[in-house]
Amino acid sequence: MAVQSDPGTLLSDPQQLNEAVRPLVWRAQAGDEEAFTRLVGWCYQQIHRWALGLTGDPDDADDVTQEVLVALHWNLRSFEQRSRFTTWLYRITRNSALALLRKRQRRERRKRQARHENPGQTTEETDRLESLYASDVAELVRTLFQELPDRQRDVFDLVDLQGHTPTEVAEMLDMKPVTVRAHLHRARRTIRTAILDRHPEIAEEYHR
Amino acid sequence: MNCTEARERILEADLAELRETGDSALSKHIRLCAPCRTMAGRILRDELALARVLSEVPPRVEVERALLDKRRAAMLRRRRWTRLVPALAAAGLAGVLLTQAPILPIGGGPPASLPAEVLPVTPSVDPPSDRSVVVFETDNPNIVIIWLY
Repeated sequence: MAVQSDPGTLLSDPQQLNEAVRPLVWRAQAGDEEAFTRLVGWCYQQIHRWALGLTGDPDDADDVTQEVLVALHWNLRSFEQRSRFTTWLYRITRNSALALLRKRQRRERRKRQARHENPGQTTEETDRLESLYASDVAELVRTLFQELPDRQRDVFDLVDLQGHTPTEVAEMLDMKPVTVRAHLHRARRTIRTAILDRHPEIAEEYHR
Repeated sequence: MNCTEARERILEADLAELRETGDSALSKHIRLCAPCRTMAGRILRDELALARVLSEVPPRVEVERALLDKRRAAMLRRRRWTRLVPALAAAGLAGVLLTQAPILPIGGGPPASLPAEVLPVTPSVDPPSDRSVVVFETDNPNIVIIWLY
């Protein structure tokens, strides 16, 4: 069966995604395998987009997306529809991403340890983001993923780049709305300062 | 609002304010001030480009393939469970039977209540048609473990 999806329009409107998938969630919870397949079709790109925002690495985003699909299959019946489906799904994605990042950190630690014990051995460190986003926004992507603390990055990504409201994000991240706003302001300041640093002509305009 | 104040606020403002669509003091200032409008416009353009770059990174695994892999993973997990459950049940049954055995005195002598001579007898058990049976003898001639699986 072909999987139907229209992620292009949905990515920019999380509210629309929630409305679109609601009947599918009910049917999939009742064991309808076709509804589950269609549900995945609607959410697949969104899960991947979240995973990319959380991990900053396309390979890791793929792994996380796979994990989330399995978790979705096993846990969908436990979703009680008290929160929005996207909120619930985001939390699963976030947990999977954090688990993967912890695993990767352990692996990196072991690699560093091995390098320390055997200094002759070298590993090639490549900046995959740089090669992937070889565009004029590469510097911004780097600022986003390397300079922003995790919470600030999550909030900035969800609100300013993906269009969720701060209230939704507070629910998704289990934070107070006021904390979300504080993280958002700090993240915006860092990103926007990086933008303006790339355009010194804007600062000059003020002195004309 | 002067430009110094506006620039400071632009760094943290909501996107709607930067789009000059709002009624806030900042939006009004941006509408009227060219340098601040340039700054707000640049931020909007670059943030939009950033959003586009990130949303255009496609998953490398097609959704159909991902679903297939998901089904395989689910099947493997289920298989693991179907193997584990009978083993756990057998272990539980063995545990129950062993804990119900009479406690023998330390030193290994037979309990006083047992007859002087006991001949070991292996019971014959007919299992139900859909199950198999294994009979384990124990050191105690009064106890055998019957495992239906």
